[in-house]
Amino acid sequence: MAVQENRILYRHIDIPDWNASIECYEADGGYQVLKDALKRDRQELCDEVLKSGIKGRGGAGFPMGMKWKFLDRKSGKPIYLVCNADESEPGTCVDREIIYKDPHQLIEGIMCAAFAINARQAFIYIRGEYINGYRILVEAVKEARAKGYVGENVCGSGYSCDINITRGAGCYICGEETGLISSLAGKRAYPRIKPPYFPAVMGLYDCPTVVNNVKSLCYVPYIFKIGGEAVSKIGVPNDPGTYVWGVSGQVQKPGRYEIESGACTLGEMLYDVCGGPFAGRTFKAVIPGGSSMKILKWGEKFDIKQPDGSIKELRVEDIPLSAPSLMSCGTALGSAGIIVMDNTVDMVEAMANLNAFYAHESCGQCTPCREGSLWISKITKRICSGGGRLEDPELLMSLADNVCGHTICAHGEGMAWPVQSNVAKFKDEYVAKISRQLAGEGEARLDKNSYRLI
Amino acid sequence: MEISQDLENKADAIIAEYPVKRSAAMMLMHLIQEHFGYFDDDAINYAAKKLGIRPVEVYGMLSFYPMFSDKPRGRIHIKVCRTLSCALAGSIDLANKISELIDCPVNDTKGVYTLEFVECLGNCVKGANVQVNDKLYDGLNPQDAEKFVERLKADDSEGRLNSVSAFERPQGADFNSPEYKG
Repeated sequence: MAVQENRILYRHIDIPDWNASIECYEADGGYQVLKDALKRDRQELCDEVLKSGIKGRGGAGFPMGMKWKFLDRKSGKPIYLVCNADESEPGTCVDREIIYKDPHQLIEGIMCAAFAINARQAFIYIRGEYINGYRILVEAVKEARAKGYVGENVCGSGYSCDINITRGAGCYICGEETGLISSLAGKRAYPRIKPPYFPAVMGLYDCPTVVNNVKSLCYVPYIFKIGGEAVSKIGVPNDPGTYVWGVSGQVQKPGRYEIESGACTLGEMLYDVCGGPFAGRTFKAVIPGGSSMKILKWGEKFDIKQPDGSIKELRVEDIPLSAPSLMSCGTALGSAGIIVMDNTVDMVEAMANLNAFYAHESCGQCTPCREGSLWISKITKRICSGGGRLEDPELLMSLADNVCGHTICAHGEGMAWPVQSNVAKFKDEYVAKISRQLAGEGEARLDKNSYRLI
Repeated sequence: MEISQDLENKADAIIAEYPVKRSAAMMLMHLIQEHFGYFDDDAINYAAKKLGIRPVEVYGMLSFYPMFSDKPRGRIHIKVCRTLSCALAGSIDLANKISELIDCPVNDTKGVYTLEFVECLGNCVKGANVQVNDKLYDGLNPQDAEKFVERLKADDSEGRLNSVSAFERPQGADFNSPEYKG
């Protein structure tokens, strides 16, 4: 069966004659959902989101309706809505298309969500590298304000909410919601410990705050339009909706594909949608959900417990692409950024590349993460430059194990999970590489013609 | 250091957008860096004064966020993505070749150039990505290094790399053209 895309969030992306102007968006029925929503009851709107069961699209996969439900509405403090457009997980680049090509979809989503949670000020925190994205959003907010969709007395409803756009400045940790909140407050982007700093209770300026990803917010008008129950029926029951998969790395047709959850398997995605590996090569490993998720080894098999209690064997290429099935295979869907590596890739180098990223991006607050990420990075770099020691794989494992669970935010796990899975699944490659080095073969790269990864 | 009325006005307009003054720090620092090129002591003190915080707190931000710099940088600022998806497309070899061709070491400034490795630029499906000032070049590979540098020089001589404030819409810009969609 051929894999079908179901474009909900990407319905306007790359269609003929589409542009980012408000006229174009309105001509397609844009902002009608907002107008209708403004006449509805807030609780009813929040219930629709809860009913939809849509999980946050940023990476953690926390149900959006629950996030809204936890909001402290009794404190009397102002409520803030923050759109997390800091997309910086390696392998993840799908929000970019919405921001650059369909900004009004995002603005309508923000206004719908802001009204539902009764926020009077919304923020978009966009990563610093998206300079034109920032300019496009500024322009779009200006257009929307002129037409009365943003600002004072939205569409004559008496409800007012403005949108501020703030640029980041090159920090991955700003994508972590409490780190983002610190940055937006004008500080170093240090994540804050939960409890007590649950954003829903003590977020921006210690006020109740909802932080949602771009795609999550774009889902809001769609939920309001067709109803939470209808959305809950798209895809698999416990992970409804579509995911926009960003497939990068060594496949014939890398790209962004919006597919219902569970509607295709990893193999169908890589072979049918993305055209398979480069000529003469074979797949070796896949990171399924942005670089922080555990790596899958091609050829791997999993024992999956069935509802009736029996065990069924599942090959890696047969894993359905949905949050629960990836979870049952020991990894996670994360931000739906798939990075594909083929047989020419030296897994130690790939690991060293990611380790350098996590060492660079650790905010430095927690000792296990700050020291651990740098130590791990130095070890893998040393192996790549020819100085491997046979005890290195164990040392890497023990370091990663000691970071997990001992940090304020999930950067610790995001750094440790790839190490744990990479070393466990490709230990032979580590040992072979180090043994060759000890035998005097220098760097002993797996394929000396392949691109250096570190 | 002279502070122009224009800069003062822009800074005040940014601060007025936030419910809490200090919140304007990120955007104000972008503005100040665009204006002065980098943060020297005067620029740090000015930011601190505008935000009502101590200079050391501004320095704390400056040393934390990679896009803010305490050193002058070249007019042509080349950022090569080194993270996995781009590295798989050869971005590391690409940066080294660019370095030779423009005679500027990686992670350094020489003449009109600053060349540096950065982490994920957020366009992974079209690696390798290189951002130059506010312009993104994608789908590159090391074999294209010479062509890329030629293109870069042509874009520069035709004024396409002119440093334009991120706060302004570049003159004549069509946000719907492919140039702005990369």
